[in-house]
Amino acid sequence: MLDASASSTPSAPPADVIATRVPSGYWRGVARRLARDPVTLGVSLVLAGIVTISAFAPVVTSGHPYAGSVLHRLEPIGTPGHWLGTDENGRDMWTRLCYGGRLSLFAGVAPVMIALFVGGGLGLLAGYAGGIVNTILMRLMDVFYAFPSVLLAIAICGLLGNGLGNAVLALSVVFVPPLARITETVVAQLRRRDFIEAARASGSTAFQVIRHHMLINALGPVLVYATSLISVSIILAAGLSFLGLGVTPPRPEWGVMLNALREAIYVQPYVAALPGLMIFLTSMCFNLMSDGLRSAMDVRLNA
Amino acid sequence: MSISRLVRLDPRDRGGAAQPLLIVEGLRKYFPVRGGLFYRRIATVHAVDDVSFTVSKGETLGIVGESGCGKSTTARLLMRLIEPDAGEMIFDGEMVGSRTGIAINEMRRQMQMVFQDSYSSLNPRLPIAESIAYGPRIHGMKRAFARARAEALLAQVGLDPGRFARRYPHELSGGQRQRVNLARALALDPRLVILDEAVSALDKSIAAQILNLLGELKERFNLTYLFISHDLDVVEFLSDRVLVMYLGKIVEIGPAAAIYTHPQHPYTRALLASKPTLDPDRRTTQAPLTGDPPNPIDPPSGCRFRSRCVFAAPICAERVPHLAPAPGGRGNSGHLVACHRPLARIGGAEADV
Repeated sequence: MLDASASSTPSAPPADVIATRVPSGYWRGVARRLARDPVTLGVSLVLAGIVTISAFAPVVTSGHPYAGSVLHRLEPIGTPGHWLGTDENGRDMWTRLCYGGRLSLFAGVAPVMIALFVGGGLGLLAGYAGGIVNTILMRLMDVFYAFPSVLLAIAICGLLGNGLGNAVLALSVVFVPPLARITETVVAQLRRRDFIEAARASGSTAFQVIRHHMLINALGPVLVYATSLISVSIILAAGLSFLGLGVTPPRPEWGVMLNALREAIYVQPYVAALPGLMIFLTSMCFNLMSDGLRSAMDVRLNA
Repeated sequence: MSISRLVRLDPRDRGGAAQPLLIVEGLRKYFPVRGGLFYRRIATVHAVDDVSFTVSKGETLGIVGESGCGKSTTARLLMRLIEPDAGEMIFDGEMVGSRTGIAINEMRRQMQMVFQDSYSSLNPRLPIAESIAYGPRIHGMKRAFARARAEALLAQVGLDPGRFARRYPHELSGGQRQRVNLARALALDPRLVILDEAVSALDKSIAAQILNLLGELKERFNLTYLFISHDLDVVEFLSDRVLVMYLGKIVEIGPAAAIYTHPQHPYTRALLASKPTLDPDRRTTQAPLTGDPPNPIDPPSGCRFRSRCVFAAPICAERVPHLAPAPGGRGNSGHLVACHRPLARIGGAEADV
């Protein structure tokens, strides 16, 4: 069985070195799979649209978001000059929704970004160091986990006072533990893989191992999770504003607008629902995008 | 083994042909089992216990034993991937890790390892040429040089660099990946390569090709192998000397021919008898070994094999047997056995093997 040495000839390639597939890069493969997924492509377009109208709010709207008229309060959708109607102060809804997207998207993305750095860093440290460092850090995260995230955000925001900055800070604190935990799990799993041992056996320092081998492998799952958190963050930020803890009127923000319009729900239900619709649409897009990203990043799901 | 086989000395050689490449003395690793409140140490796993052996330049030393006997832990201890509790290592005459000897990082350049799981041991996000070039690059080689070296090594292990260099591990078969792992291990130009079950996960025809490749590479790069496997046929095919481990201890060590034809330890004999054979005259109907190995948390007193040994006597429970020259062998053969009642002495040497 093992006397194959006699039959082996160096000139003929052994059976297992015959090429089977065309070479392709990992990220190129991810991009290709994303482009083939109609749902992800669709939600990306919707998101791009929302981001564009928010970013170019002064271009796509004509009036000022604070400019209102008592004569034109709560006009219905389709009113000439106010195609999405007006709010309880007679301000143009389209203008305020566009400007509101700026604050809402910022309040959705910024806390997740901050938490990604802080929580990701802590999780990386805990997962790689293991032992007592891991125990201390992760038990500390568990303390934050004990509070429901909404309550924790409200408590921190109430403590710091209202304002956009404080809302972002409060939400960042809320998202640090889950991001730390998922990073820790991913890194601790990677830590046991042989290629990490092999890198250490080649004489890499811990920093080199993390930089060259950990980050590139942990990034995918952590990024997918972070994307799904953006939708939660948008909803929570809107919720804080709704409760009067985040952005304050008259600044346009979808949560604030929803709160202000809630008394008009019997008068102009469609107009009153518009900010809520935007929140729903945006967060769902982020959720679906995270789903698409996950399947596109999974090498084994796709041939 | 004759010195004449070892005339090809490495340029980095320091101790000369007769100096063993690696001397391991009293290597020990106990893993704590923690639990309960405050992670107290509630038990100890005797993973590797007082293991001493030498590896000569240019030889292949096979390490065999059942799963969980400490083979892989020994390999990781040698690479210092885990810190030993006790024990010394001398690499080509220089004490490893001491101030006057050789630094651990320098030793790692001269000693590399190939793991069993060919997929797990390659970074899934790196093209294989990058994985191979990684070692030289962190030791300061320029990217282009490391890259060229990686492609040359791919060719050496039988993979066309033009077709394979830019591929990712999941695009390769198990045999191809293990070739890549070999290239990666060779990238730092090591003198000693530890092969930890390197062909165990491959199917037999692929394993045979990899074994032949190992032989070629050994010649070409003047390598010394430490070949760890549970597959007795493979070890016999490749090894000059064989080391048998049981429950963290060496029970027998010696020239492969002597171990395979005249095993002295009852465990070695049982292990060899458990080897499947196609010869109907040598067919065994009785299991040579019954039951699982004892729990390494609480190994038997005296000889650790006594609980499964058919020749066990009262002395086996009382005293720990130490490695001593085997009674049957010639004085200088290097055949050592750790047994109070070696087979040659009790007359069961060739009864069943």
